[in-house]
Amino acid sequence: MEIKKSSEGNTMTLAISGRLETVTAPQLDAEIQALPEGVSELLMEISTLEYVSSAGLRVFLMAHKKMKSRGGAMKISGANASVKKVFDITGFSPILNFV
Amino acid sequence: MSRGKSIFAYSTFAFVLYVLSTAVVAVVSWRVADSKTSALLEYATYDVNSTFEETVDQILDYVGSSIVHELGTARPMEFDAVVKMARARDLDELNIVRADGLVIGTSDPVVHEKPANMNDGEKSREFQCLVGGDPRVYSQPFRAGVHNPECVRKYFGVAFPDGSGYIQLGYDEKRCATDFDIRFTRMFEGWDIGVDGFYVCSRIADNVIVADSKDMGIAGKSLCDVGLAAETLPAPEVEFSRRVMGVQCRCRETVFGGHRVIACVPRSEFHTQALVAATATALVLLVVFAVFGTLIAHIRRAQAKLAEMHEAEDRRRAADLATAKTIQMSALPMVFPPFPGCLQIGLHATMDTAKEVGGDFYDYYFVAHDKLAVLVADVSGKGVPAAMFMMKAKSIIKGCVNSRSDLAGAMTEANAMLSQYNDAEMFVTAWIGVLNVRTGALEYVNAGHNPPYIRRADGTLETLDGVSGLFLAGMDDTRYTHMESRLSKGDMLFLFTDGVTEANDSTGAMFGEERLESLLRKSAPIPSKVCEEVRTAVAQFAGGAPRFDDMTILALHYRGNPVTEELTVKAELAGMGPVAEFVERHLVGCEAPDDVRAEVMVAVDEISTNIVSYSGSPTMTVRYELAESPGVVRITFIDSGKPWNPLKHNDPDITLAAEERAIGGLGILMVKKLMDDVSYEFRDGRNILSFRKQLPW
Repeated sequence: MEIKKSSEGNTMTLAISGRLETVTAPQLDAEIQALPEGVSELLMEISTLEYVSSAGLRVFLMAHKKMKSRGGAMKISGANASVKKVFDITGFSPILNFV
Repeated sequence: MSRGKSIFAYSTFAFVLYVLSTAVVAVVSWRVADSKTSALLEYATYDVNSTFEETVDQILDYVGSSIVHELGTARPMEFDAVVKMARARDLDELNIVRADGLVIGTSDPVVHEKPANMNDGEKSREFQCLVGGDPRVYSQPFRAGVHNPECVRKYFGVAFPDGSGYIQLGYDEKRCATDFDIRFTRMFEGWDIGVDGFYVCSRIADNVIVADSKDMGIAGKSLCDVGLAAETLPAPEVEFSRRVMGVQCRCRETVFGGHRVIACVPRSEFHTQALVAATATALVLLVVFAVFGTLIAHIRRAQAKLAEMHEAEDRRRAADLATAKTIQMSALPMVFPPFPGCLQIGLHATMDTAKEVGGDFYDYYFVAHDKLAVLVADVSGKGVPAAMFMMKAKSIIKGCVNSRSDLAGAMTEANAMLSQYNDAEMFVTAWIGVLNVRTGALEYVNAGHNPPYIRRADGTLETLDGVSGLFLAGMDDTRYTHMESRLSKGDMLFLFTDGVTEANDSTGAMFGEERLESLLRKSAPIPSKVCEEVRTAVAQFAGGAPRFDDMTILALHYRGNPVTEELTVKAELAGMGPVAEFVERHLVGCEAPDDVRAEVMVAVDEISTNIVSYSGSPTMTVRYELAESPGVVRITFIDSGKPWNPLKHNDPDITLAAEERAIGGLGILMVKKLMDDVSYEFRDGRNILSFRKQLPW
């Protein structure tokens, strides 16, 4: 998995490619933990993410909660069919913001 | 050049040509009119001169003949009688000459005193021709006398019919001038020169005009009065220009009988002539140019139309060929991997045509549940005829192979059908093999095709060089025999047409079998990759040289049956990577689609995470196997940890708000939903969790 960070104003974008699974999820988790205070919008750009397992879902949920508690928001863009299917069957789709 | 431009250029060219030719015609017309006028004047003076001479001769003939008649024969006469006779007839001289030339009667006092002989004088001797009576008369022009130059006299001879001699008449110019006034002035009446040309006749003695041919009322006037002052005139019979009675004329003078006759042609007539000639020619040229122009314009229009029609025809033909290619290509199975669920095999095929449509084709289809037929064929010729025959051959072969269990019989039947109604005398070489995907048994028929290769799992290359018979559609009674071979796990069958090995580079060298063989030995046994590598190598070798033959490739990788592999790792985080790689390698190997592969990988991650996190087992084993039914993958995880059946747990509530969500249980939920079937058992102290996934079949 590879994560590319970029920020503009209060928005931080994390472009995630490869596989988000048990072995790789801690890498994204660390990024979320280290999220600067000023970031009020977090954009997960996942168009090149191959698949996500429950370990990855956990990080997404955590990031979502963290942004919400700050009064900000997490948004997801570009999920492929497999990732979207995982979001759907786990009931994540209704609670996440897709752009 | 565009059509508009070319028409403009053509018109300009035609116009310039027309102007030039008209100018040339004008100059030529001027010259012609000029020389015609000169000729006209020359003829006019000649005409009037000769008419005058004839008239004088006629008169003298008449007078002479009456004397000859009176005398009857050449006899001597007294001087006085002769003088009397001459005067009576207005003659200035009369001589009677005997046949020997002696003058025996004369009115000339000199001759009377001193008898003369005609033979003595150079001019007079000419009259001796009259002796004998033939010719009857002889005429000499007016001439100044030898002894008396003042006296200009004309001599005329008339022979006596009895041959006894002749008489010679002398007629002075002075007398002629007087006679002229009386006899000849009327001669000009109504004489025209050209249309408006005229004669002016004047006496030389006093330059008084005695007559004109147009009845212009100038008789009695001086030449000077009409613009023809005598002293300014050039010599007779020389052309000159004068303004005659206010009209600019070209003139020519002739002189006779003490008179000068001046022929005049107005310049306007000469101009009119030239103008009329030039205009007429210009009009003719205009018509000619118009006709040719129209003709050429018509031809050019017809040419343009023809070119348009050709273009339209070419476009239509190109469109037809493109359509034919689409139809032909759509007749070939093009979905790859074709049977992703058939884990025993991987297959890929490509076809590159030389022209828009070609005669090559490949085909593959299951003829029974576990028997895969693969075929590569090459129809003689190229283009639409080859493509049409190819479609026919493809469907006939497929029909025969599907309807008969023996391959050789099927091909014998296909050949018989293709040979019938083969008026175009086309034929097709074909290699067809039927692989039992469970056992690897391969039977094949080679109908005149180049032998394919088997690349064994260890990298060695074999040629399947058995030949069953002649190509298809050659002879209707060909009977094919089938041959057998076997594919083992990891072997690859490589079929191709001669378009591969006979591909040319720009120097004409061929790609050849050695290059192909070394490429096949080196390449990874993944069908799509092999096909692409061969195509790339051939394209690089050809280096842009045009392809003269179709090029078709089919690669069949046999993965063996059954496929069962296991991997055992330590049950810790570090072991998860190898497990994922192990499963993924197999999924890629059987060309599972990306989304299916992702789903299986998610399930593998969930199960292995559970084992590593909760089982307490020191190791975990993952088994990848082909299930009992086609296209089904079964993956089994085995660990020796505490018994734990994940299926017994309730699914988590996935409708809660984000804040209330827990992650626990989601993994198993996903496995259950993404996989087709999940089962668990605890046996011999081991947790055995297994799931199945159906691949597209």
